[in-house]
Amino acid sequence: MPRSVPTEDTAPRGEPGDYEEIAVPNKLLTKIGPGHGANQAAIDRADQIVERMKGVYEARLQTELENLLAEYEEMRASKNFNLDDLHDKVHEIRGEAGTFGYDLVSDIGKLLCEMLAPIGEVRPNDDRAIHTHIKAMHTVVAQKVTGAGPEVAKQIVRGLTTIVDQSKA
Amino acid sequence: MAYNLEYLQVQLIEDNRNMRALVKAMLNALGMKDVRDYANGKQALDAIQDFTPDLIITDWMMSPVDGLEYTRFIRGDVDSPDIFTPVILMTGHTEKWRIITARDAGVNELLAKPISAKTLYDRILAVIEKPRPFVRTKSFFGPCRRRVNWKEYMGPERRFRADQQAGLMDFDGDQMDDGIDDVERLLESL
Repeated sequence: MPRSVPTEDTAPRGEPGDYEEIAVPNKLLTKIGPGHGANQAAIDRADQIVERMKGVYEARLQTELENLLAEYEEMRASKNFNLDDLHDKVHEIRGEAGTFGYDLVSDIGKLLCEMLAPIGEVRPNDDRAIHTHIKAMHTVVAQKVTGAGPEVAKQIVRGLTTIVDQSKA
Repeated sequence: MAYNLEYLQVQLIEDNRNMRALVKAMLNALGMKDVRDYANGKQALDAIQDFTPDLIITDWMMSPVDGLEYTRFIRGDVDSPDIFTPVILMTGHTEKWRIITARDAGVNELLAKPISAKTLYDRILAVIEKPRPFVRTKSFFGPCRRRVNWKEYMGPERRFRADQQAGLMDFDGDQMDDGIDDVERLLESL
């Protein structure tokens, strides 16, 4: 999966006049029978499952972020930045964190992925910015800040958003 | 009356072991008892002749066969057991070009990560209650691409930008270095 945006959109396009619409029998509905709408009891059950898994997840997330921080420190020291690997790890972390209530980790991780996507060579400012993002995610988890967090957390996300925008300039 | 999802045959494809276990547990809790899980599209491909899914829920980034390649197999390969099988794509990628790419591969619904029990159930409901007709053109076969507001999946990015436009930023310097210093100071008070 490339980090950067492709130069052109190569997605297939239909031509005018070659369009055929097909009504598909609803096999799912046939199989599950009558019903309608959301099943709140089932959603609550699934939420409870997530809640039960949260303790184990938090311990793992803490370890993953400690490892990520250590790996990035090694990259800095060796000046050998493996941004593809870093991007993939952050992407995985942010994809899971919000499910367990760590919305800030998801938001900060998303910003970091956005920042990493176009970077070719890591400039000194990029280096500091990447490090600050990872440190921010690590701090959020160490302090167990869930949800949107306090006002200072919102300021941190806004600050990181500005940094990412500046990095692209 | 709620739907009885117990007998739906579901293929769940996700390379992250923890995420796979989490989504499977959520699907079970939502009432789906016949969920088979795979670590990549290749494993799902190998299994599909013995287990014909009613619904496929797949991640995007995997190897050796990723979620879009698997979707294209379902939609267009002679060995596909059912070219109309609904495909829900889970992805943390919400950039416009990626969403267009997923749409053009023939996915029915996108499920943005991080997921929740509600968003997962909502997408399943969407393929049950609001199935889109299929379309065949010279270059595309899949669910009609014009009937979904795909832009809704790009919400978080717009939120960040909206905050900035609303003048909520309060940082001292324009320089990136100053901004980093500010964030590091804020982190100490978190």
